[in-house]
Amino acid sequence: MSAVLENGTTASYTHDTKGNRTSRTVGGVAEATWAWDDLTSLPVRTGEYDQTGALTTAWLPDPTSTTGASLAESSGGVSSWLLSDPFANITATVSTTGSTVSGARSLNAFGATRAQATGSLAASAIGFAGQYLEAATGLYDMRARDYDPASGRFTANDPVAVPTGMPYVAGYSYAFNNPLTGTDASGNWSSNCGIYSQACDSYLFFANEIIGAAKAVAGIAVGLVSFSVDPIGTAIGWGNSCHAGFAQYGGNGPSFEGFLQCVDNLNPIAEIGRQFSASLSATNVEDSGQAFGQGLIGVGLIAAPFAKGILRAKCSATAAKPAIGFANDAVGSAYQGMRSEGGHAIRHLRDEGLIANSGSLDSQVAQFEQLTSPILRSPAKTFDWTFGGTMTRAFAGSAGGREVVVFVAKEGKYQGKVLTAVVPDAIQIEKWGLP
Amino acid sequence: MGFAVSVLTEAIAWSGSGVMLSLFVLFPTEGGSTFAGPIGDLPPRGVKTYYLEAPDERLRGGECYEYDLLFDTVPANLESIVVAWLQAAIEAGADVCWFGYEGSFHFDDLLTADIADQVYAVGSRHGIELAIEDQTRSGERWAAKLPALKERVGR
Repeated sequence: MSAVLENGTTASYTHDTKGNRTSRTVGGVAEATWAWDDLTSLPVRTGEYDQTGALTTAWLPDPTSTTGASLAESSGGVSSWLLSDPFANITATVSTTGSTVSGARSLNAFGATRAQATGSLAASAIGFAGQYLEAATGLYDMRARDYDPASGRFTANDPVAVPTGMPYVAGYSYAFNNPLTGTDASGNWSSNCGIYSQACDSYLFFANEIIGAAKAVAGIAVGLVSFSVDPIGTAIGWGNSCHAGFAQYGGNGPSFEGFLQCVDNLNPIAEIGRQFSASLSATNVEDSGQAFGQGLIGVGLIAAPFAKGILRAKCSATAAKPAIGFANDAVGSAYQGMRSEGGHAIRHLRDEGLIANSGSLDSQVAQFEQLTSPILRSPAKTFDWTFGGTMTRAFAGSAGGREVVVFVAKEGKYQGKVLTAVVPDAIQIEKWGLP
Repeated sequence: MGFAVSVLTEAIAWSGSGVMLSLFVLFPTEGGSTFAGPIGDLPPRGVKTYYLEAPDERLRGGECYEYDLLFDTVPANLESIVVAWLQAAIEAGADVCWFGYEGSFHFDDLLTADIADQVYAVGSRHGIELAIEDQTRSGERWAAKLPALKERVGR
């Protein structure tokens, strides 16, 4: 395998019979070779050697990792534990000789650099999702494919076909284009356990993912706005300035578990996610009530202290896992400005006879809103879908005796607005998992 | 190169069931009612035509149509199909015409810079410009070109 670099030279790679990358040559000059551990669930690099065969970097594979992650790195005579955030990104290092933070970096959700690595992480190739960054190409080696953190996409199509019954996902996207809920260290299909997974009885939510106003519905807590921690213990660098996070709903009771992710960048260690679990008080389940929990906080390899958290969320403790819809007083905003689309967004439903192809456009738009707004309020199913280049939330339900899917932009110029609606055909029903 | 094309191909295949190329054409008033597209060797399997009604007098003596060109898969000759339809629209008297993603059309944002990355070809009597590659569409040059062309054709 080879690639032409921006400076015109060619980088060539060799692989062993198992597909592990074993050497890099740039412009005809051998630069590096690698050794691998194949006994882990995914092969992991254990050593990097220079052109003379001298070991330059060694890694200690994590035997429990399912994503080919490493526990520690040794390079230039310095050994460090590799600490990851909730998404397996290596965001800090701690000296193996003490509890000193020896390096830090910040990555965005897709692995692009937010803050340059410092200290012992500055020269480390292990970063996004705990994977190896190829210095020559700027691409992560995800085994079956290379991943470009700048674009947030793979450079090749997924060699694993989308299973029957799953919604269609773009073959170049990383972890269903949702790296907060999944990883794809093998390059062969995401380990996502989020909303696309039919087997996963959980629901992951984010404050910034809510479309329209936050709404409390049975079984789901939405609109997580803050998370503060009163530490009891001596976790290194633990800061009570942490103020944002996400939690995963347990599905069958008033419990949450998830990870605290500090976003304020007040200090490097604040970028490290702490695993957190908490039980919510059943008496605090409505609207913006507070829920108090106490649980274990794990900080990488450091001794785990206890802490208690305050989780402010709108939640309910009954039933399980309905789809999230718009609040009654917010749904109207999704249709604002639709008249100025000239009929573009409503045309598919008009073709299907669900909207009369007569009368003024204003009246047709009004019919469209009347027909589809109940679906936005109480969808039978929701899912994310890349729609004409824009990430949308799709709301599926019944209208006019037909199955209808309404797409609302989650980003871009028309965020929060209805972009279009369709009556799905048989192929779409299967891909989107509709009844 | 493959990546750049894939963003476009994923966008035009958004429905998960076939491929749709959406052509938007601004004609002078009553100029677009007979437009039927080019005659080619590989026509779409279907074309849906929509009159897009502008609010108030925003088009100033013009009218806007959308033509959804339907294909089973991404056509191998995508670029030539795009060019042929733009050329045909121009020859039919279009002031300006463009291919854009589903959901990108809004009379408040005709060929504006903030939706430029969702427009992958544009044509007028001054010529045809393509932005099939993702890098071109997301660049500042393309974002500046669209409103400039709109101004140039008096729209």
